[in-house]
Amino acid sequence: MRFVTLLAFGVWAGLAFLIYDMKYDSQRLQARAGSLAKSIEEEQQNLAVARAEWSHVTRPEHVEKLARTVLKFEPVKPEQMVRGNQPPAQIAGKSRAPQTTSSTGSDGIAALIERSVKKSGLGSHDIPR
Amino acid sequence: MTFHGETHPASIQGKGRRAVLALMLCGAFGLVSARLITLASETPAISRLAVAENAPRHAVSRSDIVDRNGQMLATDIRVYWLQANPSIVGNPDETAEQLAAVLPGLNLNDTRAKLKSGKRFAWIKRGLTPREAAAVHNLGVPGLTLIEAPQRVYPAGETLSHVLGHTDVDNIGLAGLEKYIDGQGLKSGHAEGARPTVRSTIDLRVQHVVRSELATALTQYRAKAAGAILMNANNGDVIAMSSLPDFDPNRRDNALEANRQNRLIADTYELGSVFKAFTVAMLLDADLARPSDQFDIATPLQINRFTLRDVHAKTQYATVEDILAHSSNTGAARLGLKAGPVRQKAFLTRLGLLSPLETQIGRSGHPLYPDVWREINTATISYGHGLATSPLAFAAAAASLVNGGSKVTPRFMAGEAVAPRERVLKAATSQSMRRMMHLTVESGTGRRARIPGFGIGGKTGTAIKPKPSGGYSDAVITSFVSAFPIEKPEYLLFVMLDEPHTVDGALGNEAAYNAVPVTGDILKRVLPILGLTADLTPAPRVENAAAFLR
Repeated sequence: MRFVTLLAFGVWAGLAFLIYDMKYDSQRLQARAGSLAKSIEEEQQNLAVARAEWSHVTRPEHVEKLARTVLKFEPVKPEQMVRGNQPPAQIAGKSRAPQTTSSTGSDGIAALIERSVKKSGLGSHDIPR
Repeated sequence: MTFHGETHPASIQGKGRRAVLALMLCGAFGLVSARLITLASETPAISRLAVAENAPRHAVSRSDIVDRNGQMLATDIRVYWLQANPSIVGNPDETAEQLAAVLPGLNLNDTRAKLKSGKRFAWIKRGLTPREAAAVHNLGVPGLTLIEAPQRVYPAGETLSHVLGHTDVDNIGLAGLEKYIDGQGLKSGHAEGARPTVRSTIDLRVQHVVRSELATALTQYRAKAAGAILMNANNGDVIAMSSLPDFDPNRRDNALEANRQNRLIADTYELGSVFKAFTVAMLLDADLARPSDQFDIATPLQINRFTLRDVHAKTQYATVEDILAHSSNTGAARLGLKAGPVRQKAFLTRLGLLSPLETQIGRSGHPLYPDVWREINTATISYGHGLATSPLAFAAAAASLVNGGSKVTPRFMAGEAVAPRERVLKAATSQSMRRMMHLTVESGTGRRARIPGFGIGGKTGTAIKPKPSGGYSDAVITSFVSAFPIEKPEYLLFVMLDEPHTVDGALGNEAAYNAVPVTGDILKRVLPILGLTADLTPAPRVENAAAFLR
């Protein structure tokens, strides 16, 4: 009888401790989940800002200005868009890609960007985050 | 061993009491244990509340709006509002200087005055970026508080202000697509990560070209206002729409300034000769005339007390084709009278020109037309006077002329169901109209919009502006409606200038000298973006072939 009582008490105490431990564990996990949710939300906010900034700097108005001033580009002219099946003799090829001598080889646009970045002394810190 | 009185009734009674007491104690302990277990296993309510505190901003988060290629047009970002409690700010002068150092654009004197006011509350600045907010936080000045708030931003700037509309401080849509989205229940209740995206029919690249060419025209011709619509002539998708002057939707107060309304929808205009296209289409569709039929254009037209003359008439008679290409008023009036008022009213109703147009960015202005439709009204409406419509409704009706005769409803949001296409004109009528409009650009009033290698059709309009007091003034509204490629039109472009002036090198202020060249400038840049290719076969140019091949 005494043994059974002691056993019951032991089980009760063990369970109580287990529950106590689990409770604190769950609280800790909950706090962690909360902080993770908060940082996810934080990142989403930052992402939203980054997306907005990306859209802002890639808006056609801005790109056009940069293309004109930095790369000395002009809008594509309608006569430059021809059907693929037309013989070249019929195409008025008034404008050509600017000639560049650069390490980037055949990529004229990359060469132009490279050159103008060098010339203007623009560093990576000027590139919008 | 036995005690005396063991079997005494009182002793038996005492045993019973002990048992009851033990039972009660056990029950009480059991209850406490049970309660402890439930408390321990329950999720603590307090920490749940703490997590929920971050959530309220979700309630006002809005859908992102992107253009047809996925370029962001409108989105929500989190900003901070900086408020101060001046009564507990210790050193106002120093604080003001510190704030001015971390917040560019902050007025130092204003801030100093606010902080010295000694009041309990003052807004220092709204709309701080997270970086600015962190800088302010790091100052560690007591009495400054940062509040998180969502704010609508329009990364593309003012380019699309009229289509997108704007929102108020609480992020509620007030105009344009923003308002429409609210009505569709796409606004609230989304977590930021799961925000739905609304796709517009606008192409931001085309929109930019249209707006910037229009802005150039506005200064070049010293016009009061200008507007342009580029839409898909078949399904009504609006690719670009600009009404100048416009506003920057990122600055809410600008939207309410005078003259910033979307003229293409909100206002109605008597558009003048562009309406002759409808008159001609009406006759062809009712088999009342063929394009080659001759009409008297030189003899003045007398209706009641009203005499209509064509001072520019070079010949006595002109074909229907020439009446359109060279825009003869007497000719158009005679055509209109041949059809008669009843038929004309029915025709314009069928094209949707006599009722307001419901669009996703608002209802168009109510058309103004005579209550009693007399012969004189028919004559003037035949060349576009006496009937005022919104430019968007006009463009939609003009699309039917060139697209084979189907009714077109302009739309601004992609993915919306397209209404079954209702036929309003015979296919043959539309074909004749295309040919005549092509002729107008090749050899008529629209010559300045010609682009080698592309088939473009169009019709000019120069309308004399009615005075508010009645009668007509000297000022004009010029417009040019064009469709391309005219062989099988995909797009319709309508350009309108309000009160343009004659510029150096031009012979006048008619549409041919402003709206038409502006259209040409827009087309030159837009055609390559739309992926339309030149067909240079009829006029080969070989002189530069060598350069191309190199």
